[in-house]
Amino acid sequence: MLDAKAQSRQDVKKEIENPETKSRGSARLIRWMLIGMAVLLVIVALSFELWVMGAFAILAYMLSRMFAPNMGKKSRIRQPERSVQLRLFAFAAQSVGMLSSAYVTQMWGVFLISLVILAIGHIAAYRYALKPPILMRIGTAIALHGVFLWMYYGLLNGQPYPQIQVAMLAMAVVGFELFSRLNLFSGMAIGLTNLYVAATLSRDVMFIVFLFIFLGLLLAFMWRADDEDGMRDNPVILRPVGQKAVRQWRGWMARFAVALPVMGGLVFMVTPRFAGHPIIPPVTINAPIRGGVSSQIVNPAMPMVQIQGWSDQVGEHYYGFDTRLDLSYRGGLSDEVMMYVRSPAWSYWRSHAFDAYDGRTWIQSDPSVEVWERDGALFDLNREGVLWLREDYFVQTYAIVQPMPNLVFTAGNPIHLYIAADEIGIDKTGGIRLGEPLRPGMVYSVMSLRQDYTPEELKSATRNYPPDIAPYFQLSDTITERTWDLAQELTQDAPTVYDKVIAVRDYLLATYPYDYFPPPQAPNTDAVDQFLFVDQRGVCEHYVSAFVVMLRTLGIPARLVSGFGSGDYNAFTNYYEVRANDAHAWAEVYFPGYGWVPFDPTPGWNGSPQTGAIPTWVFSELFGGTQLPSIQIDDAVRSGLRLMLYNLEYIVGAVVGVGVLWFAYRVWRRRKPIQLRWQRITRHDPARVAIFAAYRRGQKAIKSYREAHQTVGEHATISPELKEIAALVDIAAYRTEPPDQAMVEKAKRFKPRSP
Amino acid sequence: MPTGRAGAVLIGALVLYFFANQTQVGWLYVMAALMAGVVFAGWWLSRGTLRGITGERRIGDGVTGELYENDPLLITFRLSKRGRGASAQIRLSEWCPLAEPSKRETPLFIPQLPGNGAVEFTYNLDVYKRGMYQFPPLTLTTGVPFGFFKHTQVIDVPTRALVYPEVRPIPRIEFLDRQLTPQVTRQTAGIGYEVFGLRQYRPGDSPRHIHWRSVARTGGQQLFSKEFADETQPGLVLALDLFKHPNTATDSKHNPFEWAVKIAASVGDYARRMNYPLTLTTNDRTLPAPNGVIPFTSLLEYLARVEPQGNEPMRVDVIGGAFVIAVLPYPDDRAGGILRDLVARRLPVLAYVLDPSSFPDPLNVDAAAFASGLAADGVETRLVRYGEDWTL
Repeated sequence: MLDAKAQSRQDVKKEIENPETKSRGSARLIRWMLIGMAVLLVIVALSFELWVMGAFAILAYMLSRMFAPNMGKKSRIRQPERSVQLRLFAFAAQSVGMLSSAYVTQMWGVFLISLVILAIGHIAAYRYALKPPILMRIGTAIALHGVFLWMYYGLLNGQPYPQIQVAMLAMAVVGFELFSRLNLFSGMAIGLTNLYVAATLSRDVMFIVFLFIFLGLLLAFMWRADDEDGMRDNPVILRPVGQKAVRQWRGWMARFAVALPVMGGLVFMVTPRFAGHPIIPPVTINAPIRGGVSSQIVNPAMPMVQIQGWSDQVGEHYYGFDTRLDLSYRGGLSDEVMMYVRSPAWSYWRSHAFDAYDGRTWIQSDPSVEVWERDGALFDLNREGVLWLREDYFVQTYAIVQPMPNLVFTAGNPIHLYIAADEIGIDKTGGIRLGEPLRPGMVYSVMSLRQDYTPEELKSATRNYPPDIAPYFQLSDTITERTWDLAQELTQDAPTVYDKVIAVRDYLLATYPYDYFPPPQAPNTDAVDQFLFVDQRGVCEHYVSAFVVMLRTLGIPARLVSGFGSGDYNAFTNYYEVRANDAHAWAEVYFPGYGWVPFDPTPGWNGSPQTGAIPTWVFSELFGGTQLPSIQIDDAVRSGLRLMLYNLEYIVGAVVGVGVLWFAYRVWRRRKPIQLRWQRITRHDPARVAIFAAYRRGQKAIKSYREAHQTVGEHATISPELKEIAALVDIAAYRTEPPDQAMVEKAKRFKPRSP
Repeated sequence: MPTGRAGAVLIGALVLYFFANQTQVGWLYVMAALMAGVVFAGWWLSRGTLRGITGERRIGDGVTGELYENDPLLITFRLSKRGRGASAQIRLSEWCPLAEPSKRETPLFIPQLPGNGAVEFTYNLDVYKRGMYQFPPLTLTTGVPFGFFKHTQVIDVPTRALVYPEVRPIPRIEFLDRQLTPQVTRQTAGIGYEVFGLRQYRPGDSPRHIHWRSVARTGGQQLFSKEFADETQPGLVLALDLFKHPNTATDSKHNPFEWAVKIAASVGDYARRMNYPLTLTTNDRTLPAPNGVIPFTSLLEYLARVEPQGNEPMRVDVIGGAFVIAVLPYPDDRAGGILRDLVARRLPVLAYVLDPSSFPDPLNVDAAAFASGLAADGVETRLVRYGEDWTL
C-alpha cells in the first residue's frame, strides 16, 4: 500500500539505515551532550566567575575532544588507523597509565577489569574502524555515563578512590572509540591523565619508572607513526646499500635516553615554583563524614590494655592523641607511615593541646567542643576576623594512610578547613575533632596563616593577657619548691617574657639528655620534679611539661600541645612522610597581640617550630630571595567554583537532561519536513489525496502491491497495468504545484488494464 | 623548524606545570620537566641529521653517449652519508626532467641512512622529448627523532643531459635522388683536388698546401697557399620555419613543431648517408643556425635546443646550385611565398608541410589547401599528418 506517508517513511528509514548516517548520528549524540556540558559550564561562568569557569569550559571541550574524538574535518590523522603496531603502543601506554594508578591505590581488581575492557575496546575499534556499528557507539556512550554514575555510587558508599576508578574505567570504555590516529593520541592523553592522578598520590620513587615507560611508549608511537606515514606517502622506499638493515631506532632511543634526563633535569632545576598561592583552592570530592562530633577523642590505635611502666612493644598508638596525656606511659612508636603531608612550608602538625596538669597527667580543663557547621565547601575558622594578606597563607594537604584519631591535624594558624564532613568540633585549645576517626585514603586540606614572628616582635609583647587565658596559668599543688626556684634562677637576667621563655627552653635543651625509655615514674611524685631533679632525662612530654610548668610559675601562660613533627621530606614526591614515631609534644606560649607561639624544648627537635619559609625556587638563594609574583584570585571566583562542585550532581543531571532534549529535538527536526510534506499532501491537498487513492484502488484491483523497497515506477515496471496511474502519482508526490483537475479526473477514471 | 607536535607537547608541559604549581605535587613538576625535556632533547638530537649527505646521479651506463628521444634509459641515483652520524625518515623527490611530464616526480622515503652508508635508486624510463635538461636540486626533509623538529636540506646533484630529436631513417627521398648530379668542379674556391690558384698564406693553412715555388720566387719573404677548386656536390639547404606560430610551444612532443624537428633531423640523417653537404637555415636570431655546411652532429645539437621563438618569417639563403628542403610546422603563406620565389629561380624545392588540424590540440587551419597551392606552383610538397610515417 502506498501513500506519501509511507514513501516518506521509507526515505527516512533509508536515511537512518545508511551507515554514514548511523555513525554520524551517534557521534552527534556524544558530541552534543558533551558540548552541552561545556555550554552549561560557560553559562555558570558568566553568572559567577568568568575566567575560571571559562577555563573549565575549555577543559570540558578538551575532554570532549578526547572522549568524542571523531569530530572535525577529514584528514590523515582522522582516517581509520590500520597499523597494529601503533595500536599496540597506544594500548601499552594506556595500560601503564592505569597501572600507575593501580599501584598507588592498590586497586588491582579495577585495574584488571579496566585492562580487559581496554583490550577488547582496542580490538573492536581496530576491527570496525572503517564502519563502526551504531550499537557499539551508543553502547560506549551509555557505558561512559555509567562509569560516572559508578563514581557517584562510590562516593556515597565510601568506596576507595572513586575518582581514580572512574579515570581507569573511563579510559577503558573510550577504547571502543579509538578508530583513528587522532583517537589513539587522545587515548594516550587520557593515559597521561591517569599518570597525573597517580602522581598526586604517589609516595615513592616507583612512579618515575611508570613515567619513563609511558614516555618511551609515546616516543616509540611517534617514531613508528612517522615511519609508517613515510612509507605510505611515498611509493619508493630506499634501504641502505651493502649492509644489513640496521635497527637505527635503538641507537636513537639510546641517545635519547641519555639526552632526556639531562634536558629534563636542566628544565626541572631552572623552573621556578610558585609555592603557596594556588589559584584553585583545595577541593576534595569524598563521601562526607556524617558522624556527630563530641569531646571524645577516638584513637583507633589505642591498645586494649593501657600499659603503665615499662614496655618493649612498639605500635601506632600515641597516648598524646587522647583527652588526657599520662606522663607515666612508656612505650615505643613504630616506623609506620601514618600520613603524608604536602606543604610548601615546613611545620609541625598540631592536633590539640592540654591546659591542666595534676602532677602526672595533662588534661583539658574544659573538654567541651563547639560544633561548627560547614560554610559551603569549607569550614571558615577565621572567626576572629583576622585580616590576612595573601602572601601570608599556605595550604597543607593531609593524606591519611593508617587509621588515625578523629583529630584534624593542622599547621600554623588555620583559617580554612576543606574536609568532607558535615560538622566539626573545636575545643578550647583550638583542637579540631571529627565525628569519626580518620580513615586510610581520606584527604583533607587546611589553609593556614604562617607563624613567623621575629624575636624582636615577641620581645615587644606586653603582659596584658585576656581573661580567657586564665586556664593556662594553672599550676598543680604537686609542683615542688625547687621547680619554682629553678625557674626563677634561670630567668633572673631575662628582661622580657620572650627572653625568659628562651632561657628556660635553652636550659632544658642543653641540660637533659633525651631518653626513649626513662625510668618509670615513682608513685606520689610530681612528674616534672622527677624529670628535672631525679631522672634528669626523659621523652618529649617530660621536657614540655617541665617547660610549661616553669613558665607558669613565672606567670607566663603556656600549654602542652600534641601532634606530629614534620616528618621526613621526600623531594621527589614533595610529601612530608609522617611516621608513628614522629608523634611529638611541644609547647605553646601566649604573647598578647601575637597569639600562641610554639616552642620546643626537646633536644633533637626544632626549638622554635614556627612555620618555615615557603621555598620559591631552587635558585632563589642565588638571586637573593627573589620574590616571585603570586597569582591573585577573588573570593567570588572561589565561591562560584565551590558552588559548582557541591552541586555537581544537579549540574550533570541538567546537562544530561539538556542533551536528551536536544537529541529528541534533532530527531523530531529530521522528521519534520517529511511530516510537513505528508501533512501537506494528505491533509491539505485533496487533488493529491484523490490520485493516491486511485493508486491504492488500482493496486487492490490487480492485487499487486508496491513493496517498501520499490519506487512507484519500479512497481509499475512489474505491474504495467499501473503504469498510467504511476505517472500521476509521481506528479502528485513530487511536484510543488498540486495536480490539476484534469489529472484528478483521469485518476478517478483509472482502471487498470493490460498494456 | 618546530612542528605542531613539539608545540602540543610543550603546551602539555605548561599545563602540567600550572597544575604542579597549584597542587605542589612534586611529581607533576617532574612530569612537566620531562615533557619539556623531551622536546629539547629532540631538538638537540635532530641537529645535523642531514649534514654530510651528498648525491650522485648516473645516466645510462655512465659512458658519455648520445641520447635520442624515445630511447630507453636507466638512471641510477645514489645518496651517501658521510660521517658516523646516522639519519632516518628522510623524504625527498627525484624529479627527472627526461621523463614524460606526468611521470617526472617520484617521491622517495629513506627509513634509515646509516653513517658512512648509502642508498641507491635505479629507475627506467623512455626519454620523452628532445632538449637540454638539467636535474633540479634535491630537497631532503626529515623530522627525526620523533617529529618534533623538521629539518630541510637542499643538495645539488648537477646532472645535465642533451637529448637529440628522434631520427627515423628515411629509405629514400625521391626528390633528392632525382636531383643527383655528378660531382662538378666549379670555378670557386672550395674543397677539391684541382689547384685553382694561389693566395696569401693565412694562419691555419696546412703546411702541405704551401706553394714553395712561389715562396722561393719571393726569396722566402712571403708565403703562398694553394687554392683548390670546389668539387663538392651541390648542397642541401634545410630550411626550418621557427616562427612563433600559434600553439607551437608546448611541453608535449605531439605538436607540429616537434614533428617538424624530427623530420628535419631525419632529412639531415638522409643527407649524411647520401653525403650531401647540408646547410641549415632558420629564422631565429636568438639561436641562429650554424653557418655553412654543418656535420650531422652539429645539426642534431642545434635541433635539440631549437624552439619556435622566431619573430621573422622563414628565410632561405641559397647558394646557387643547392636543393632546398623546407619543413613548415604551420601553413604560413609568407613561407609559401618564399618557396615560390625559389622555384621561380629554378631551384628545386621540397616542402614538408605539417597539418596542425590533425594533431592533439588541433588548430583550425587548412594545411591541405596550402600544400595543394604550393604544389600547383611547382613546389614539391609532402603533407604530413599526425600519426603518419613521414619516412614512407
